[in-house]
Amino acid sequence: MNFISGLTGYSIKSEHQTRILLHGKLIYSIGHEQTVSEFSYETLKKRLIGTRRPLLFLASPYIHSYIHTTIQLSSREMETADQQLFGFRNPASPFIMVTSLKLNDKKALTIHSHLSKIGADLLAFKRREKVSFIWHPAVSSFITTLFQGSVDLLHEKGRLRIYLANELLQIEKQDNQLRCQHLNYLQNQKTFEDKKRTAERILEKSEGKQEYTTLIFADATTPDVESSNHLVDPLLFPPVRNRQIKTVTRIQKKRSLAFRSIIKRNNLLGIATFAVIVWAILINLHVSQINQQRLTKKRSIHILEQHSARLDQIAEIRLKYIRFVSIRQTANSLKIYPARFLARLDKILPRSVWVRSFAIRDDLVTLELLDSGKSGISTLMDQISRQCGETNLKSNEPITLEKTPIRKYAIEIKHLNSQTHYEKLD
Amino acid sequence: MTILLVATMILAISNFIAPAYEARSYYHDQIISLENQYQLLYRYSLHVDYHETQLKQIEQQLEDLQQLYDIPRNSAAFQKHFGKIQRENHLTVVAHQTSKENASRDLEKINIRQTLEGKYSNHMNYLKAILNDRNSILLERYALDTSAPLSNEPKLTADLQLTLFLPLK
Repeated sequence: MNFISGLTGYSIKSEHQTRILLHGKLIYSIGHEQTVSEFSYETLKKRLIGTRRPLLFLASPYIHSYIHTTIQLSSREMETADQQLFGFRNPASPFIMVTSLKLNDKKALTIHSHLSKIGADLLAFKRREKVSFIWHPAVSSFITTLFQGSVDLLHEKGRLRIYLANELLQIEKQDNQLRCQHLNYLQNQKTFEDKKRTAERILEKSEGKQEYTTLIFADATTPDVESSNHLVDPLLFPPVRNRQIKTVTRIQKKRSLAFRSIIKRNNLLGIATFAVIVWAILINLHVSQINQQRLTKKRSIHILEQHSARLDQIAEIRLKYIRFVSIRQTANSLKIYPARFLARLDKILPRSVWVRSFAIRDDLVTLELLDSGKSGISTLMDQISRQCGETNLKSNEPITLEKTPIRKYAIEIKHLNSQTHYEKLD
Repeated sequence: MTILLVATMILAISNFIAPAYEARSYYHDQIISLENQYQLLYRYSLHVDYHETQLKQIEQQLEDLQQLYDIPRNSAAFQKHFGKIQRENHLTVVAHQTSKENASRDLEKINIRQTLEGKYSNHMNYLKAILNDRNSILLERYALDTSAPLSNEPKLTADLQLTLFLPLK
């Protein structure tokens, strides 16, 4: 909701605009023909819809006003003064306007206007109804208009009292300077007369009884109202901005010391905490996913380790098998075959020569031969040597066997020809 | 309220976020090392199925080989085995001695000493029978002697020194 938008027509002054003053439960309207009328809150919507951008002047309880005399204040000082004065007393005010009127070089009249919750609700309601209007704080507008001298209400008696539903504004002109008194919180009194009496009693107590021009915005039945209608018309106009007037407006969110801003700061912290918690959840989820990945990898490795162990077992079994096979191959390669040697020897030996004894160990053969004929040992040795291996004659002696003279040869054969007597290694 | 929120934030950061980041870095390192290990093992055990199939064949062959050595391992059965061959070849056993010893950590050695009597052809057939390719008996020494060298069919005495190597079970 942008309340400032209601102030855009601050310096617009159109005599044909409908002007409405809202104060207490009363609504006071001045139409195109300067006709003054009062109507109820229920008919306000109808009135507003029929007119072109009406001007609304809000007084208590819609706007709370505070007036005091100060030195001349800069814009920043005006804000500070407002915060110091009302820092926590009216924290829910959604709109604040501080107006400073320069009385002389040393003095200024500072008016604080705070939009109340009721006022905000009223404006919000009317905005929802899509009714276009411009609004102003009534007390601030009255004082500013009088200060500018555009209304000569103070000329006759120099004193003016404006009675509103819940408040009283008293303005005096002394030595060309304005002096203001403002009574607020009169809503406790039931009737307007009670309010008036109470206010006059308070004011006259301090200042004595004096004559005032009175301006009463109240029940139409009040006798003074009819006579003062012509005075009301020029007063209900938005003030014109000039050098003597300085205004600062603030909306609620910029008010750093307001209670809501503290709440907002906590909101920010809350959002930050929420973000941190979300962060913690997300990072932990991410870590959990990575951990799952790690565990999956570990499981795969465990399975592969089992495969690996199995492969080691297979390798051991294969080694055992290879050892078996190699033992058999080696044994077969080292075998000597006496039968083969003897068969070969049988082919070499002549008919008159036969073997008496034979022994073979590794590649060494010892033979004992008996010879009944005269075949000649040298030829025999030569043949054995050529076909079987390195042959040596150990002895050659004549013996008699069964009365038959024969010769006995002892022969040694070394380095047997492997092709003949051994299996091939490969 | 502010203090509570700030405390919650600090607790969340110190207890959940900071440890999570530490754990993440640790897990990342572990995953890298596990990945390397996985690659190595995967390459090593890539053909495990093939090796399993081969193993079945090897085990069958090993079983067959072990069966071959079952007879030599049993002394009585071994002697019976020799006796059968000797009878088939009409050889008379003069002496038969068997001794066992360990040749190495996984190899057993059986020494056999035999003295046999018979005709030349019987001895040769006997040699052929015991030195066939199916068994791995080594003939270490062979001596053949005759006491009647002039007779037409002399009776020969053979002295055999045999050795057999058996893989230990």
